[in-house]
Amino acid sequence: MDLYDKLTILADAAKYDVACTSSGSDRAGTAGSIGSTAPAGICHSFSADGRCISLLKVLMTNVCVYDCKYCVNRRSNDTRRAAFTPRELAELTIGFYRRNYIEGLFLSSGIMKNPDYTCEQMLRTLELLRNEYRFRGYIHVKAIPGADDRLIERLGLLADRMSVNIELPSRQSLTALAPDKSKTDILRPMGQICQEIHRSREELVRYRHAPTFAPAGQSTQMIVGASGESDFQILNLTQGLYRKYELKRVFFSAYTPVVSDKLLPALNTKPPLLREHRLYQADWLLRFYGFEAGELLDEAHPNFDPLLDPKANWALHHQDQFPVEINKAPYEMLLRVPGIGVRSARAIRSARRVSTLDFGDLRRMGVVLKRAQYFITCRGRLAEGLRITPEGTFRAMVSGRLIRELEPDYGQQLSLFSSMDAAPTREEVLQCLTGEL
Amino acid sequence: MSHRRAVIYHYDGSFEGFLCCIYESYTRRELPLDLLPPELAQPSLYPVRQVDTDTAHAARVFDSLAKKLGPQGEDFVATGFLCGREDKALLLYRFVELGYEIGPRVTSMRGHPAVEPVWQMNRAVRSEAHLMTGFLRFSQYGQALVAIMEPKHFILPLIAPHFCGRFPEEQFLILDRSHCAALIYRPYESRLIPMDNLELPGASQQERLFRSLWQGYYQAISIQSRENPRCRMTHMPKRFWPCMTEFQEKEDAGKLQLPEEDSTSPFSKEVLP
Repeated sequence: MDLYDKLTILADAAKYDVACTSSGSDRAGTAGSIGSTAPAGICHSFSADGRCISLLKVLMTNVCVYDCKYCVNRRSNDTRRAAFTPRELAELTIGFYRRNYIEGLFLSSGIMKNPDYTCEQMLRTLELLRNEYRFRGYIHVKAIPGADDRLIERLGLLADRMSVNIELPSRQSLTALAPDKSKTDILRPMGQICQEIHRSREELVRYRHAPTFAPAGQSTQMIVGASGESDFQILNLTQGLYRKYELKRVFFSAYTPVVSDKLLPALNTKPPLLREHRLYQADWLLRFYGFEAGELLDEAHPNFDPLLDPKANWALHHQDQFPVEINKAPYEMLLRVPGIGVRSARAIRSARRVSTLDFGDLRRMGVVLKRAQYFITCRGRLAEGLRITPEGTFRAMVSGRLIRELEPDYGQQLSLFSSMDAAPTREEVLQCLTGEL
Repeated sequence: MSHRRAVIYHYDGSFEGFLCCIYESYTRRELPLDLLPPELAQPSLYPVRQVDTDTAHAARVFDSLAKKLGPQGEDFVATGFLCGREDKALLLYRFVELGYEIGPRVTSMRGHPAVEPVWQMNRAVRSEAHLMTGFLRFSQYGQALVAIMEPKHFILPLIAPHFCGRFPEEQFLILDRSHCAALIYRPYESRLIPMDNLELPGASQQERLFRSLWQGYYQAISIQSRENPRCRMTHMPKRFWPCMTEFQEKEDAGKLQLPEEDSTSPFSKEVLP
C-alpha cells in the first residue's frame, strides 16, 4: 500500500473527530528547530463542509479490536485498513508543516493489539517529532483509555493538548453501543490528565524549566443524535466536565450514520446539525456568559427550541428581569441581553465610564440593536418608535430563514392580503365593470 | 481652515513620501485635496505640487506621530499605509490632522468620520495578514522553499516575523505578486526586495508527491453529508484559492513514488504490524 492510500484511508477514518483547534499554546520558534505556536491558533484551510483544517488529523491506525456500534472503524465493519509507522507519520508531518499546509499534528488511533501497544506507537511518533526533528509546532494527541498511566504521562509531556472522547453521553448508551468500553475507562485518563496539568503548573512556579504537561489543556467530544439523551442531559454532563476536569473545550459531533445497526438511526438520516449548533451556543453561554445548565433547560423542557437560540429563549422566559438600563446594569446582566455579546458588553462597560450612552452611541460603537432593543433602555427610555408586544419580540428573535425552513406555514398569518392572493376571476372583473357589486 | 491653499500633492508612493506630504502641507500652510502616487497622478484643474521625498523631513514627521498621537496612533498610521485602498493617503492625512489637534485620544474615537475609515483599514490589513499566515503555501525547489501570494494589501512586512520565527533553519522566499515585492530569508537574516516575477523550474518528484498527498488529504477530511460551500467561502474567500495547493491541478498520485536510490527515504515499505 503506498503512502497516498494510507493517508487518505487514515484521514477518512479520523474525520469524525471534531476538534481541530490549534489554540491555547504560545511558543516562539528558536534557532535549530522548526515550528512555533500562536495563542489564538491558525486555520490553514477549510474543507468543503466548511470546517477548519488546522492540524493534520489522522489515525495511527484504523485497525481496532473494539466493536463500538457507532464507529466507522469497528472490528466488524468491512473497510480498508492501514497503519502508519512512526517514522512515516513524522516525515509526513514535517513535510506538510514546512510547506505551511498545517499547524501541527492531531493524532488519534484505533486500538491495535492492546491499548499499551497503540499508545507506545503514538509515543514513538511524538518522540521522533519533538526530539529528532526538533518540531515545536502544535500537537494534539488522544489519550488511549486503558493505557498505562506512565505512557499517558509521557504523551502529555510531548503534546500541547490531550483529549479523551466520551462519545456517548450516558452509561446506558455506552453499554448498548460500545460494549467493550466502560465509563470508568474513559474518565480515569481524564482525571489523570487533569492532575498532571495541575502538578506541572505548580512545578513551573518553582522551576522555570520544568517540563510542561499539555499546556493547551484537555478537551473531549460527545456524539449528538446517536443515542436517546436529551439536550438537558448532555448540557449537564458538559457543565460537570468543565467543573470537575477543568476541560478547555467540549466538542459536539452531530452523528453522521456510517454503519447500519438496529440500535442506531437509519443510514439515510441527516446529521442533526441544528441541534449541534444549539448545543454549541449553550456551551458558549456556560463558558463565557455566566449561565448555568439548569437555567437554560430543565426536566420539563429537556430540549432546545429549534427556532430560538438558548439565550433568547432564556430572555423570553424571564421578561420580568428586563428591560435593563444600559448605563447602570451590571456587566453580568449586560451579557444576558440577547444580541449583546462579550465584545459589545465590554465596549459598553468602558464607554459608560466616560459618558452616558444613548441608542445612537450604541449604534456607532457597533452594538447590533436588532434584538437587543427589546430588552434595554438608555437613560430610562426605550428605543424611539419601538412598540413591544410578545409576538413582535418573538418574531425579532428568530431568523427568517429558519422559520421558512422549519415552519413554512408560520409566516402566512402576517400577510395582509392573503385572502386576495388568488387572482380575480373573469366573472368578478365583469361584475366590477358593470357595477353589479 | 479657509486660509490654507487647496492643492493636490503628487508623491512617490512610499511611506516616506507620504510623511513628506504632511511636512509640506504644514510648512507651506496648504490643504491637500488629494495625495496621489505616480500611478494615479493625472492633470487637474487644481494646482499640483510635486513633493520630493526627503528622509530628514520624513523622520521628523514620523517622530512627531509617536509624540502627538501616541504609540497606538503611530502604529495606526504605519499599518494603515499598507492598505491597498487607492485613497489611503488622503484618509490617513485627515486622521493625522485630527490627531495633531486632539492627541492620543484620537485612536479611540470610533465612529468619527476621520477615524472610522482608518480603523477599518487597519482591521482589513491585519485580518488579511492573519489569514495569510494560514493560507500561504510553500513549494520546495532545490534547497529553498518558495511561496507566491496575491494579497490585496501589502502584508509582507507583517507576516515576515511570523515565518522567519517559524522556520528559522530554512531558506525561503515569499513573493507578493500584486505588490511586486519579495521577502528573502536565509538562516538568521531576512530582506525585503522589489521583485516582479519569478521563473520557477518544474516541481521535483518529491514536491509533486507532497502536493498530491495534501490534495488527497483535503478531499478525504471533508464529510459529504455536511457539505456547506457558503461556510467555506466565508472563512476562506475565493480570492485566496488560486495560490493554494489544494485548488491547483491534481497531481497524478498513481505515478508518483519517491526515487528508489534515495536510501534515506523517509517512507519505509512496512505495512501492517
